[in-house]
Amino acid sequence: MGKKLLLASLVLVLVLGSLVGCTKTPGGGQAELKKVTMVTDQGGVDDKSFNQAAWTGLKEFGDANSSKVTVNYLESNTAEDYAPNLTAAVDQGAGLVWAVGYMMADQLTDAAKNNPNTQFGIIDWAPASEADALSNTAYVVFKENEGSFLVGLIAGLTTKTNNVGFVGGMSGGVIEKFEVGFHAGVKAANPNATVQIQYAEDWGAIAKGEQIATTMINNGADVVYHAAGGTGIGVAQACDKAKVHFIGVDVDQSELTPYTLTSMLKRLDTAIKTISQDWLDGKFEGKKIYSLGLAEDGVGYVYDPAKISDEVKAVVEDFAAKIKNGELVVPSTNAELPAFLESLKAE
Amino acid sequence: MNLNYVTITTLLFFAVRSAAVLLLAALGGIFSEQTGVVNIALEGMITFGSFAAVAVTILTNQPWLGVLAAILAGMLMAALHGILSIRFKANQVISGTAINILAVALSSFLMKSIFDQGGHLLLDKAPKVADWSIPFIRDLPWIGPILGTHSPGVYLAFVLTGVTHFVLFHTPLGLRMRAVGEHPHAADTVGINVYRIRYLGVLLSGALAGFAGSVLSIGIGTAFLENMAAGRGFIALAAVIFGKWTPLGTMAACLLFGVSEAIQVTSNLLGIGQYIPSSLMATFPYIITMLALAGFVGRTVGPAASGQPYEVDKR
Repeated sequence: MGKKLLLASLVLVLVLGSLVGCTKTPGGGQAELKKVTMVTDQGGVDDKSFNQAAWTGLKEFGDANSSKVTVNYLESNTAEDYAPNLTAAVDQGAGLVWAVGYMMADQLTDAAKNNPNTQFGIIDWAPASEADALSNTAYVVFKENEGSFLVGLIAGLTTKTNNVGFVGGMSGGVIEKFEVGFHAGVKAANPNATVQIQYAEDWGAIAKGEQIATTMINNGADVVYHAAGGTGIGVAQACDKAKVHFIGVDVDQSELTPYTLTSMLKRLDTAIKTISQDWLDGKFEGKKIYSLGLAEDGVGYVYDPAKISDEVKAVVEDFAAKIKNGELVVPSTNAELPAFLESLKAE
Repeated sequence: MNLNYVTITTLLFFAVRSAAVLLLAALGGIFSEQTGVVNIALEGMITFGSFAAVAVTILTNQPWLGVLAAILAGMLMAALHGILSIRFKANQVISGTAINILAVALSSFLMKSIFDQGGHLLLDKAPKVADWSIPFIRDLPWIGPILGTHSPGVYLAFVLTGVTHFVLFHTPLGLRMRAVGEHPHAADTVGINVYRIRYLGVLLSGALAGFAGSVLSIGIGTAFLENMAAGRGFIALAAVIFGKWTPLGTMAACLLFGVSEAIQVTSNLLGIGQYIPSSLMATFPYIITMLALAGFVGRTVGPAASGQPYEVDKR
């Protein structure tokens, strides 16, 4: 009986699900309006992370200019959707097309070459040299090392054991910026602190994240920062269990555990909003690589007065000001780190 | 090297835990393969099970209903695999691959339509399956921290290993299963319903793999992630081969893989990261499996009829 009921409800869920699934994408609008379309990365537009932050920015831009422009999005469920979605965006008449995520780099380059009259923007990717940049594409990358530096300062000032941890997703790539920025921040605030570093080599392994963080906590860490995607959920679980501080990444992750100290923010929303506005105002600059750091409000951190004391905030703001005016350059690779640490000692 | 009591017991705790998830799926693989159906759809069954577990737990607030839903979800995928490969005699590898793709897409689609969420689905306020803590054992030195407290699925994995061994090798049903996997025509001539036994094997494998998925998402974890299975279905199959299609051998293989994963995951913290890159260590289960297939652990021969659809009039 119970099984039958469950089976029946499962079927019901399937049927209802397919009905709900038939929602239409927002946008459309009249023909005379200009149109901006963003193509999401995998995970959906409401992934509480990347795609959602991007859409928030684009929607704000659309709302602010509703008399001149309409905005919409196309979702990519798999990597195979990138190219068709980009083409569809152009075919539907978008004047500016956003590709959210470095995974779309190749498909975006093709689309931009094939559609010279459409403008494009891509988040988190830029060609190795400016010579390869296309004249109808804006490239947006973030200085995650600067944001990570600030949460590193907070970690260094908050730790009572002088021991903190960093959990990375995959080694040998973009995550090094997070690691090194954080490491530098911790040492700048607290030269005696130890920074434990471990990569999970996996973006979606809750169990691995929990194991790594638990091991770090056993080794004495009382603040753990991650840049490891879904693996970070396990990091939060371990911090929750051990009642030690957790630091989130990309967006405010305080929903993962009440022990969240802060989160490093990547302001995709600001970037997309600003550059879309430039485009609408006729100031769009193709071929340009936007490298957004603290000075450009491209990265930041979550300030919760209940978690971060005034003294800590004062130190963080002090460093932030130095980074913004160029007095302090935050290292972004392990090769640059030793020199930075030496310069701290010299002061 | 940074080895002390806490480090070693923590390492082995996580090793046992990840071995248990593999083991549940691998036991499923054994049932399927022993009855003659190759099941590379384990991966998809784990994925769909882990989604169903989180979804139903959120909707009902009852984690054990979530586990039940995961088992049913695994069986649903298994039924599909069974119909395709037993009834319609489709190529079992193709059918399995199709199910692996379907499971991910279906999970994302249902997540989107029911919860309006993409990428991941957090349990949030809904409870996960509460850990079991075994009195007496949890207070023992060494053994306590490693085996004293775990998610129920971890203990059940090892219990079910014993059950599987008993069923396969000490009951008439097990004998029939093995006969069907080894020589279906002979089994048919003595009156065994080959199709029914194969369906049973495949459905059991779906139930176990779905259960494994629930252990991942609501036993150990607190969320469903689209890439959650992360190859575990395939590593489980590797464990089946390495364990020569026996439950006890497979359990040993899973424990070996579990220990290697636990070491890989914390290689840097253990102080061995500078000698062996952790990304290289992650390939360990696959290398071991290739060595096993190359004859390193003696002959590894599966059930003779595994992978072949049963056709009554073929000899």
